[in-house]
Amino acid sequence: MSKAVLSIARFTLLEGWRTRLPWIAAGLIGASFVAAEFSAGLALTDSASFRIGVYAAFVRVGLVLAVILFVAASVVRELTDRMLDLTLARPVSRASWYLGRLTGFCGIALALAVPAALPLIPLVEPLRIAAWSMALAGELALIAAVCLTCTVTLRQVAPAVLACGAFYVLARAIDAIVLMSQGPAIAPGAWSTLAIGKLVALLALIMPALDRVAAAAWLFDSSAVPQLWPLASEILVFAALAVAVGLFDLYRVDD
Amino acid sequence: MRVGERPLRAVPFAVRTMLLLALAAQIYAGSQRMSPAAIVADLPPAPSLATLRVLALGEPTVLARLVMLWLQAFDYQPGLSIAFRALDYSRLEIWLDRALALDPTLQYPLLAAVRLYGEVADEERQRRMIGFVQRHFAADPARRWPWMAHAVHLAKHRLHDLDLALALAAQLAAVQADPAIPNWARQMHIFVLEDMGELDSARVLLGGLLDSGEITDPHERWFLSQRLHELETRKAGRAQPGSVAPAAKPTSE
Repeated sequence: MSKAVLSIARFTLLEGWRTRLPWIAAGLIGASFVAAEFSAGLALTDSASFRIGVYAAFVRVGLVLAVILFVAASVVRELTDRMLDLTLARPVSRASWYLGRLTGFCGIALALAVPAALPLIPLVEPLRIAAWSMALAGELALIAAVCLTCTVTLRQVAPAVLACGAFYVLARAIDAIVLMSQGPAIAPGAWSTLAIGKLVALLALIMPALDRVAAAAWLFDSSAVPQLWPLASEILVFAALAVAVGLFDLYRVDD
Repeated sequence: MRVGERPLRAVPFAVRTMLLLALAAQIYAGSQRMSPAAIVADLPPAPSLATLRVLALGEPTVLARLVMLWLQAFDYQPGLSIAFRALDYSRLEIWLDRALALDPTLQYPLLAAVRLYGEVADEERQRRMIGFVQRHFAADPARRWPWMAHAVHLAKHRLHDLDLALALAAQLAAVQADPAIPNWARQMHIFVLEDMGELDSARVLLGGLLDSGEITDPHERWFLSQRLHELETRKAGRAQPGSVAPAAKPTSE
């Protein structure tokens, strides 16, 4: 990895630290913990699974939102302040800038996933926590890559956040959408059913199935942890696609 | 090419190649992914009413509707259809209870009980749903009479339990006259009695109803008078075996 990439990654990490992202993450973790305790208090039985499940689900969505907002705000600020122009005026290629930023954001994703697992230590077996937090880090890194692509392409915070949020919701729901498109409530012969079925199948091909990643059930269901390497390879492949799309757009923009 | 956009050749060959390769790899990975499997989930226990009120965030009527939609969609889980017979009706009844408690004006839980879940071919489950309607009818007869009337129909024609049908119809008849409740609904017990062979009781009730002046519609008075006449004819026929009953003569108004 070139020195420029590492420098840009280091400054991205520094930016995360100085924009109080750790405090935001701590707040999210604390709020999720309180919500989990509240739900466990309400549950009449099996309060442990309520506590673990609610915490894991809340903190996962909260951290994904935090990453999306941080990446979009950070990159848009750099673009509007013309800092990217200054960087590219030096002997730094567009690819180096892009990969540097991505490496920094991935570092932030890892730094967020590790403390998110800490409240689970007294409640869940260590191996399950490790699997869940690694998967969460992978999901956050993938979301950071997608958000970087959206921001480089759309160049404004609101459209980038909306596009990335919609991508995340679709990726979490794609398996259920596939099943619904084949479900018994659908008229099998109708042309609209066939067209929607094809469209959904195509979407399923190019979308990652994020509902299979870092599910809360991994932490309290004894049979729920899947093999991690197929998930990791799926995340890597889609991240590569997001990076390629982002780089393609970055090279075409005439700054 | 748009303004502010550089030509395609400005994109390095490596980036273009990476884009194509990554897209191909993603499509391959997507095609190799295991198909999602449909899993039958049991109907979960309903939370307490207090919990639901907290979750409603001050909109219990909206939450009641969402609960009903979710409940209705439960038998169509993604990818499969679950028979009502497979649902846990004790849990289902509590869910319906909760929806009605969140919004007592909502008709949906009562409709679902008799028209949806009460249509299952299982006597115990049908009785449970009829019991649900019967329990909640008294709280708001003006709104809930259609479901009670349907419960009478279920008891009479599906369960063939005329005693239960009569008890339900009597409950309908016992409510104070209300313009919202049509007379035919309040007269159902008379016809159930007739079906039970309780001709005397039916005749007394029908005659009393006609004499009370509650029935003002001429067609309805004619119809009920005809039924009264038929009842009297049948009774006379029973009293004199072998005699021929005279033809029914409509009482015109």
